[in-house]
Amino acid sequence: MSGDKSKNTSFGTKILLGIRPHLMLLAALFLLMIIMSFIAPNFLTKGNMLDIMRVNSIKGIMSIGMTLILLTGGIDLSIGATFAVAGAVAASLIGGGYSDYATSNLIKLPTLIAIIIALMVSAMIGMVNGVVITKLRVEPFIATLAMMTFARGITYLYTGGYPINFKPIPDSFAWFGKGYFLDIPVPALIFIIVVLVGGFVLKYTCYGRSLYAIGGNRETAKLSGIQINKNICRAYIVMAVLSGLAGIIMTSRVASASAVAGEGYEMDVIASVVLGGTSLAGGKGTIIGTVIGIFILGVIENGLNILGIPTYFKIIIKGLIIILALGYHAFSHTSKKRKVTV
Amino acid sequence: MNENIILRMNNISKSFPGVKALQKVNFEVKQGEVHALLGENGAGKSTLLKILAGAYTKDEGEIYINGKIIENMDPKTAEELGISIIYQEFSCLPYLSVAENIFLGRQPRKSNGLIDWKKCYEDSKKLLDRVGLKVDPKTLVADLKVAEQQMVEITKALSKNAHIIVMDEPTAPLTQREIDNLFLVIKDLKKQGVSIIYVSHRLVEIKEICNRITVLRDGCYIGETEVASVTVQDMIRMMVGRNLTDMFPRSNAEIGGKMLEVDHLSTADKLKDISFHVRRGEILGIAGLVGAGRTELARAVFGADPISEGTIRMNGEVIKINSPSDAISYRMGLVPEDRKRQGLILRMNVKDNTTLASLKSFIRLGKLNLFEEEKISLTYMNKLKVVTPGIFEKVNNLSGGNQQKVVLSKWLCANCSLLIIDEPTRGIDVGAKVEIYELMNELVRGGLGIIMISSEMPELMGVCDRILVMHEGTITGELMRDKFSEETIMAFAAGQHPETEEDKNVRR
Amino acid sequence: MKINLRKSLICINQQKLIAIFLVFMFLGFTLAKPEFASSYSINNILCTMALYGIASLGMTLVILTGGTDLSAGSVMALSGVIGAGLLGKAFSAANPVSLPFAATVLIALIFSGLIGYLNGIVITKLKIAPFVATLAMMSIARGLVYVVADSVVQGVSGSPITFMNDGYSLLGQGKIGAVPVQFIVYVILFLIVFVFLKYTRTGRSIYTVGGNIDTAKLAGIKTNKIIVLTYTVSSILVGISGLILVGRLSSASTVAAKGYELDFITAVALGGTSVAGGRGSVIGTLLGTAFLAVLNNGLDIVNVKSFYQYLIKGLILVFAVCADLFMNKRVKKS
Repeated sequence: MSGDKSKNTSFGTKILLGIRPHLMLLAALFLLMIIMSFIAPNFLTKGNMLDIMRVNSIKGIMSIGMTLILLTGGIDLSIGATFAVAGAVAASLIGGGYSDYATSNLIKLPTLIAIIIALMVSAMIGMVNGVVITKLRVEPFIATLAMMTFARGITYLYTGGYPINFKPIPDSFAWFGKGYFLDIPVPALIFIIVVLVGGFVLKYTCYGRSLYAIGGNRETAKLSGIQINKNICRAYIVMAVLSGLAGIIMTSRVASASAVAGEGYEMDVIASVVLGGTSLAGGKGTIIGTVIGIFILGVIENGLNILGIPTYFKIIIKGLIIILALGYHAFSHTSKKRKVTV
Repeated sequence: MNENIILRMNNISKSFPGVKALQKVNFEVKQGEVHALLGENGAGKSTLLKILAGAYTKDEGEIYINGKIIENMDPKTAEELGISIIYQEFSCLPYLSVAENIFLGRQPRKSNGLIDWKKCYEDSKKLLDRVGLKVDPKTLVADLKVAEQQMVEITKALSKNAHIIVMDEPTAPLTQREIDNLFLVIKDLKKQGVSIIYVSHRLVEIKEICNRITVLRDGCYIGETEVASVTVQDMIRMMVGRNLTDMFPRSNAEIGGKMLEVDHLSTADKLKDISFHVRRGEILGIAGLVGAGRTELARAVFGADPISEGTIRMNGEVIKINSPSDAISYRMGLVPEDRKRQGLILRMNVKDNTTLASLKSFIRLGKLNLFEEEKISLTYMNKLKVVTPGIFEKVNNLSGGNQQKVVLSKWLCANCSLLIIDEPTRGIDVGAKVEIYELMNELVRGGLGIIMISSEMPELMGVCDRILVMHEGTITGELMRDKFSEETIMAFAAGQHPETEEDKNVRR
Repeated sequence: MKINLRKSLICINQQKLIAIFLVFMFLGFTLAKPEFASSYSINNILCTMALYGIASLGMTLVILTGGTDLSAGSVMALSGVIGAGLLGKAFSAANPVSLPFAATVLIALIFSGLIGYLNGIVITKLKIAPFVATLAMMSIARGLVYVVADSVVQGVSGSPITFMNDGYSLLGQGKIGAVPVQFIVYVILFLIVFVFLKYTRTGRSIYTVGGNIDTAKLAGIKTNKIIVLTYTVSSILVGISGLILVGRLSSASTVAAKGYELDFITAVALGGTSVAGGRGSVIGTLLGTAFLAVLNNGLDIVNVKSFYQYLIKGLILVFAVCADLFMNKRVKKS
């Protein structure tokens, strides 16, 4: 009984403890929301909130994967391309998917199987990334840069450069991008699930702890019996599968797959993860931080949209915010350090 | 010899949070002498030298160079005053040429402002001749041997017109012939009027090359004397300052049967035909000079580096170890030589480091039981008397001794039965050292076997039940406790007493 | 000594390898399609080399310090729209400014340099990793491209600035004898950067900073200054590439040079410059650029579809880096 009770109370405090390092970011997020709600009266409506959820869930799903990658001290630039590959594969295999390029129309499979195949193709891309990085010891930056070109090429090869549209889109597939479950948009729901699983994995599994250890000090991790190559490979596979999932959801939402889909997404995703306090050097970061990072960028984008600010101002502001936020991180960090040595 | 006092440091004190690193230390160096700075690890040598180099600021005391008081010592001033330090880890840039490394940031220029490479190479050649290094100045440093890189460092110091060159353990990575060459260079520099501050643990060398010694212990100045007037034993007494028996408590553990047996182990690049065993309740020491292959042996046994030949048996059973995780599954543990780079994850907290090697055992119902983790870590923290504000403190903020205890906790937590400890007390202050020894004794009393690698002879002789000596990748000698003597060990370590076949058979 | 010589030979091999590949590739394409060796095609190759090469020179400097510059593509576009916008001769131009060619070039390059300077400041003062700092700058500079373009052409947001100007035409399309002007510009800049890196203390400091920043500090090098300078110079070079692109098309597009930064990095990495910093040369980058230019033009001429080109480029990059790693491992072992 008493054990139960202590667990219950500690659950609440645990959440608080989890959030504490991100208080500044969280405060920034709330401040932003308050400002936005003053400037744009329809900002704080339920519809708009759900919209923010839905819009950001796609990059959000990828950000969770990217958090794992950055924790190992790696990076993945190929996620935008993987996003497109998965979208194209799924669209071409699903009944109703139609393209002017004949090979895209050859095989039709049930929706679920098509999606699984698309995810498996993504997983293979991730596995190749992982193997090239761990076995051939190519730097992640270069390895995934090459994969980005390569996977994009595969997409062009597969689609012939033609978009794949739907005539018509099957309901079973449309549900992923446009459907609702208990009033929540399905993409947002999938995002929430990915966040919860990601948070659980990082906090409560050996695998999660291993990722921190590998990024924190690879040699120590190895000498403590952690299998470096296997764990890193897995992270790239998870990353690729999540990118593929995001690509499929996007394809469903816009009812079209294109060879240029997801171009440049890697940069946005990395930005939101880093904004959430995850270190590019590895070993430091949390899912909560990433989620806050995503929403800070998301809320800004949404607010600026409501205000009708042109796209280019949005990207300027986004860039400035990344610099300011990270500059603040670095600044507060060094001042803390100084205190310790004095 | 010139009797000019070129450097005098008076009553130098320096404190770090919680530690008095130096208390009223005096140190003086004459022109053209080789002056040894002696002391155990943690005695304050490196702090003193860093103050000299301007890397730390002193709390108290005066520094005089050529009789002139220097108020604010910073790295730049130090360099201008002709002080150069050659660190153990060389600072050469591997992918630049020898000449460029010598003149880094000071490359000679032509009147038009462009670098005069011809002059740079010529000048380098001249300087390299002064230390007798015959390499083309255009060679990349990456292509040089360690000893040659060291000469480049010395050349760099000379190019800056250094009057005082500090050498920190210069002979550690060198072979005997290279050491002889280094000593020739040092003697030559001495003749040219350069003073050398020589830091080394190899007291025999100090007898050979130095003129005077200054001894520090626990941050205090112990004394200064002519080398000619003391023996190696005297030096040890001054450094250690206490009875060796107090320092090294005995375990009195009951020595049981063989647990680990290694037969004819070889690796591709270093180890050749190594056979030995460890018994339950035994502390087996491995002695040898740096580069003898001791760390390589530990890593090979632990599966961190591949083995090319040989078998390993655990409790009589042949086992296959391909990775550290295999070794851990056979209940082995490795406390590596470089704690910060190999033993700990500095930005993780005490708890996460403690449970790092045994995470799987905390899985309950498919998830890590954090509560259990905290409880167990706390137990080890208390058991090993780790001084820390709590288990959530980052290990980076702990002192060396406490960090080492966390590494030990990690292996105890993994329920290890054979511990390989590489340089257990490196960089740990004296008090904590004794604690670590006591801990090791307690462990063997509990039935563990320990392999202890150390470069500190007194430590090996004080703690171990048996000592193996390595030389150039082979085991050259084995001594039981009653036969321990520094001379014998040194002789084996220098490869002077090649072991007979008979000895080898006995050991098996 | 003999052993050392052999080791150094292995070291240079990465560049030699690329050079050998280059020759074979050239022969291969010529055999497959004789028109590959035509003056028209060679001209194309030289122009591609100039466009990518000048920016890659800048990228080499940045990578030598151990950094990276992801804002290069955006800076290229920014330099282009500023240069073209200030001419005041754009179709449907709404801006009253009308400057001569030389002034527009100067101002465009000053702004490019300013972006690089800011990159350097953010990296050194705010201590943000170069990857993220320049990623943010990529976004900001691209936004500025739109701001400039929209204030010049007040039509649909994001419209290109199209214009006629002899200066730009000369830069992007002109020839002196048989050689494209832009290639001559490239050669001149190449020589300047080469001399800078090899024969000036500042140039050598770049290697030192990338090799080991602590050693650099100990050697009295003002590391922050060097880094800021490197990013500034790099961005100016990138800006010049941007102006050439504008000159070639007589039009400055808002989406110009998107993703080019990765091509520049590829050229540098192909040339054997270590992405970890401190090792490499512009000669390698020259070879890497030539390699990419020949490959692109060759694949176009033998009519390989663009998607195969993607695949081939990806494979080559991994191959080049693996070769580099492999050789380094051998050097270390021996």
